[in-house]
Amino acid sequence: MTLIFEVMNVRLSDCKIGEELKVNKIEDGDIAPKLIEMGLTENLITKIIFIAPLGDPIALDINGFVLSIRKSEAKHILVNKISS
Amino acid sequence: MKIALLGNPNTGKSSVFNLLTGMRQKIGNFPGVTVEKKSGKYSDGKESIEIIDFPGTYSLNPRSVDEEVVSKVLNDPSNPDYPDLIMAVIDASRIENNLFLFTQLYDLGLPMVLVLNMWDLAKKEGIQIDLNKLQECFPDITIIHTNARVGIGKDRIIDTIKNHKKRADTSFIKSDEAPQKTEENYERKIAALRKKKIQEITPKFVEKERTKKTSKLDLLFVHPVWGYLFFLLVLMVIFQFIFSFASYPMDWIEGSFLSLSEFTASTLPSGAVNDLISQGIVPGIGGVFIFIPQIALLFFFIAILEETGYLSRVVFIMDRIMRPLGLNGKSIVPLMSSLACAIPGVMSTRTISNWKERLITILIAPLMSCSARIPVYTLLIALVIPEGHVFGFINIQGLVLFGLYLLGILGALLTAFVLKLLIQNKSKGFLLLEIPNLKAPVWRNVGFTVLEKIKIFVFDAGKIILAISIILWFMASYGPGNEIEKSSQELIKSEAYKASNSEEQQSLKSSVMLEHSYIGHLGKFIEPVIEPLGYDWKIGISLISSFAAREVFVGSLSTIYAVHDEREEKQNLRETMKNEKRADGTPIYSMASGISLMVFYVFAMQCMSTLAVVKRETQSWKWPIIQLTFMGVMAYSLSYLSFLILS
Repeated sequence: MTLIFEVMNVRLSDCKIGEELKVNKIEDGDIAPKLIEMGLTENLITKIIFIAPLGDPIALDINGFVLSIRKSEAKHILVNKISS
Repeated sequence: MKIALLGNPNTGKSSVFNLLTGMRQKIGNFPGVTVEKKSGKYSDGKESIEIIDFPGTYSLNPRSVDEEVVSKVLNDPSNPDYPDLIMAVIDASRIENNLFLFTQLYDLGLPMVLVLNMWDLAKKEGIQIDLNKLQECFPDITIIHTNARVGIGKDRIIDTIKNHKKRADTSFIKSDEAPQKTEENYERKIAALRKKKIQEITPKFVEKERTKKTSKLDLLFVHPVWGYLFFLLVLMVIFQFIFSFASYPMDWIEGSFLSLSEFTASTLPSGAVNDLISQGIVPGIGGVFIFIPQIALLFFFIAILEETGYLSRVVFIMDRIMRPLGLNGKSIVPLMSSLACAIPGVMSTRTISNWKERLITILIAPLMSCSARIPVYTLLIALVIPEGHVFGFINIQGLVLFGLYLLGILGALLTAFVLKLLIQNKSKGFLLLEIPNLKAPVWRNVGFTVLEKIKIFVFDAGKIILAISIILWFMASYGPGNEIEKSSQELIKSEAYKASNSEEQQSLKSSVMLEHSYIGHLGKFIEPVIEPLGYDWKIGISLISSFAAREVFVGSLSTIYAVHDEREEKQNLRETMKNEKRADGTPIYSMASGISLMVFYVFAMQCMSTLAVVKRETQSWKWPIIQLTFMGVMAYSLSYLSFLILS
């Protein structure tokens, strides 16, 4: 299956609930290895399933495992939006 | 044989542990670190086997104090807790994610058993795992599946451990493919490599057909309005339960210890030993036990919230609100626990990965009104707050009690904000939180959690409360020189004494003895300091003696006011206190001094046990001393202010 991207390289912190996303790049930093350990890897297909009141933190679906991260962490994750 | 039980959080690891060990569990400490060690024993028919339940972790690279202990023990074969075998528990429905920790453990080279738990759930979610294919990838370990939640798989686990395979010098990450430790971003590179290899092998044994369906309840739990209202409702229900039900067992415990102390007083030969036991040790132990019902109830509810997965949702919606205060969404659990007792509260901060956020949570936790303050609040409210209603239905006394709780919470949040500005910290706080699926609680696990918290309270706080009770008993029973004896002689000669019956005489005697004891002197010594707050030396004595545990305040006042007939004590004490007058004829316990005293108890750090636990958790005396100081300053200045305004 080839994926068609609507928008490329946007920050995860700027995405909305329910958009299909593919993780393009996780910028280097202290948190990067921890994100990878918890399953948030480059090339992962994911989407935001909850956004907390006040817009922060957000919760992502990682193959059925729900991981919540702060917006400040999501800023360092670049994603492509997949068109349906 | 020693087994290390390891796995991600929310995999049902504790269900497996409780299933195997049942009541044969104990809580100790890992040597050199402050993390509790939960271990248990079972017998496989031949030998007794010890299992250590390590804290749940996602990786061997620690991100919190809790997780640090895992890598510390497993990387050091000389550690006394170094295992002979590793039992890894995996949530079968999240197998790909869980394999990260599993393969790290596999690479340690120890004999290993892999338990695929939640097998039924995985099936229900449409995940097919081919055990034979999985076994091919990891040939030198045994793999089994269980449903520990419902108690299925116990014999299978025991059997597997008994007949575990020898390791064949294999590893998941081969040494020639691993990056060098000295390379830049090593941690990230090795994690990415491991993850990539897992993603490569997973399709070999997992077939899945699923899309994540969010539960309808979650739309309520994380809703911008209903989410908070629902949480508030949950809190209200919990505290309603605690206040209405805890008093029955508490009255019973109080009565039992009173009888026990009367019994020891009358059966043992009279003398110093008798006094020590019946007036020092027995009431001291009673003072520890009296809190068990409230602590048990609160942790019962917290354990349910945790087991169902609701608590993660609360952390999720609270994180953004707590952050401006220097706290973390995860601070909510310690702060709630502190409403029962600050000791388990402070200990539950270990899950907060950022040191600054954790420290601030620890420092403000004792400002939450704990159960030991309730007897003090209720006595003083009954004394100085008139009965009646505002708006026709809100009970004024209840309103004041609620106000005291609110005052503590507001004080805590404001303090957090100030501490955030004062404490320096370079590392950035982060939140990596799993939001597990909602599920029904496993009652066995809830029960064990409650038991564990009670044990921690009894052994950690209990020891100190008991020790201080004995010291205070000594200071209250003995005085400098022969002063006590002399004043007792004078008392016996007095008219008032001669006119009293024998019970009253006994109380008068105790009162005079206390006045002339070391504590009595201390009370008088600090009187000038506490006078501006509206207190006299009698209250001073009670303030000092309640340093062991706040509720001692009530008992100490009964002694000093010579209230006899201990069973009717509360009623009589209130009457006596009402009639207490100053030299100028105004009552000691006015609205002003009463509220000032309540405010003092809201803020003052009158709990040695908490200080000791804070010392242990922060690894230095610096923080408990800072905490004692700022809480003392807050207590003194705010009591002074309220006395000034109200009088």
